[in-house]
Amino acid sequence: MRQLLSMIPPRFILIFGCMTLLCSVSLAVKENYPFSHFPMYGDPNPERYLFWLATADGEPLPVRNYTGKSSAQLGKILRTYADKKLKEAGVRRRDDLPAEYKETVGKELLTFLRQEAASLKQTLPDKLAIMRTDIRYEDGHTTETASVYYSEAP
Amino acid sequence: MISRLFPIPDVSRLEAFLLRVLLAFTLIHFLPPALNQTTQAVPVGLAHWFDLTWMADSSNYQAFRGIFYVAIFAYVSGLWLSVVLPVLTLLHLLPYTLINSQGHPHHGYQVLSLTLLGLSIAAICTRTRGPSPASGTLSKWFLPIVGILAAARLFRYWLDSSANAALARMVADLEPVNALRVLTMTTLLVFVTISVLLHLFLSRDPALSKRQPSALANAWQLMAGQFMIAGSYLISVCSKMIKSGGEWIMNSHYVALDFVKTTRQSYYSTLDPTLQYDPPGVKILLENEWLARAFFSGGLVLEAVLIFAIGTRRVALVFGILLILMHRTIMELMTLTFHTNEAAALLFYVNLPFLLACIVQKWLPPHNSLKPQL
Repeated sequence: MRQLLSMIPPRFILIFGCMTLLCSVSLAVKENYPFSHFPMYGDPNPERYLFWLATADGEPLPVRNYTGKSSAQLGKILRTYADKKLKEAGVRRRDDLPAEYKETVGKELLTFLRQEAASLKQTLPDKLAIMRTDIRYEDGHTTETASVYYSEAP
Repeated sequence: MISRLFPIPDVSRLEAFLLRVLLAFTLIHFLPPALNQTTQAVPVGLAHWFDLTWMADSSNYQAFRGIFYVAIFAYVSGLWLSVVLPVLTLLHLLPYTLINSQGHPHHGYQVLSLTLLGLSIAAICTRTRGPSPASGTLSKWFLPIVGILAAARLFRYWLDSSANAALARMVADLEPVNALRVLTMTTLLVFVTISVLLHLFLSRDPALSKRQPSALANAWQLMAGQFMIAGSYLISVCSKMIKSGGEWIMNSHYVALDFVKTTRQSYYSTLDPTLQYDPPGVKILLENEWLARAFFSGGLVLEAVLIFAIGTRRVALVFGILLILMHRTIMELMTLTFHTNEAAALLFYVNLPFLLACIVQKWLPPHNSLKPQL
C-alpha cells in the first residue's frame, strides 16, 4: 500500500485534495460570496415557473425600467423571502406555504420594489400584483399558465 | 500515466507579465461603475460581519475605486505578490458581496473572485524566502511605490479625461455593442501602455528585476487560476448531481424548458416586443430526448473534466475553446451572458497570454528583461 502511495506524485494528491476541499466548502457554505454551490439548472424537470410584476388588473409592467431589477431577480428575491418563512410555517416546500405567508411574502416584495423604484425616482402604480407563470411539458406539448401569486387589488 | 497529470508549465516572465496585465484589465473592466445598494437585506459572506453599504455613497465608492486601481497596478508590477494579491482579492470581494447581499445572488463574478483567491494562496505558498537582492531603500520601496501610484493616477486621468469623453461622444451613434467594443479596446490599449511604461520604469533598477516572481511562482500562478476555474465548474457539477438525485443527465432534456423560462423573464423585465418569441430548438430538444441528453451531458462532462487540463497547454487550449463555445451557445439559446467566465477561460485555458508571448518574444531584443529565463 505504502509503495502504491509512493508512486502517486505529491502534486496529484495536492490538486485532488485541494479540489475536494474547495467543492466541500462551497457546497457547505452555499451562497456566501465568493463561494457558491451554483444551484442553477440543478434539477431539470417538466415543470418550471417564473414571476413577473403586473398592475392589479394583471397588465405586465416592465419591472427593470421601474426598479432596476429584472424579472429573474424578482423571482430570486421572492424565493429568498419565501424560504425564510418555511420554518415558521412548518412546511418544506415553497409551494406548500399557507396563503397568509404567501401574502406576507408578496407584501414584503412589493415594499422592496417600491423602495427600489423610489431610489431611481420612478413611481409604480398604486395597486400592484405579483404574477406567476407555470411552464409545463406534458404529452409532447408545452403549456404556459399565468396565475396571481399576490395582488393588492381589493 | 498519473505522473503525466498536472505538469508544471514553463511560464516565461513575458507570459506572466501579460497574464497579470490582461487579468488586471479584466478586473477593472467588470468592476461596477457605481453601486446603489443602500441596504444588505440578505447578507452573504463578509456582509455577515461588516456593513458594506458605505459603497453606495458615490464619493466613498470613487475613493474605493482609486485604491482598487493602485492595487491593480501593484499587481501588474509583479512586486510583493504575496501581499498585493490578498489585498486585491479582498478589495474585489467587497462590491460583489454587497451586490449579492440583496436577496438575489448573481453568479457572474464568482469565477474572478475565486481565481484571485487561488492566485493569492499560490503567491503566499511560492513567495521567495531567501535574502532579498541587495538594494537600497530608494530602490526597494520608494521607486516602486512612486511608479505604481503614478501609473494608477495616469490611468484615472485617462478615464476622467476630455479625450475619453470625446471618444464616448464619437461612438454614441454606433450600435451600443460596437460602441462598447471601441471604448473597451481603447481603454485596454491605454491600460497596456501604462503597464508597459510601469515595467520599463521599474526594470531600470536590476535589483527590482530580481525581485520579480520566480519561474516556479509564475507556473503556479497559471495553475492556481486554472484550478479555481475548474473548481467553480466542478462545484456546479456536484450541485447538479446532488439536487437531481443523480438523474441530471437522464432528465437533462427538460433544461430546454429553462430556455423558455429565461426568454420569458427577459421579456417581462422590459416588455421589449423583440423578446416575445419562442426560443429556437426547444421543441426539437424536448421531442428528441437522447439528442438533448447528448447535447447537455457534453457540457456537463466538459465542466467535470476541466481539472485534467491543469498545467497543460494543448489540452487546456482545446478545453478553453470548448468552454467558450458552450457559453456562447447558452447565450444564444437562453439570452444569458457569461462574459467573466469567457474572459477567465480565455486567459487561463486558451492561454491568450502564452500565445501573445510567443508572438512578442520574436520581436523583443535578446537583452530585454521580459525574455524567458527558463
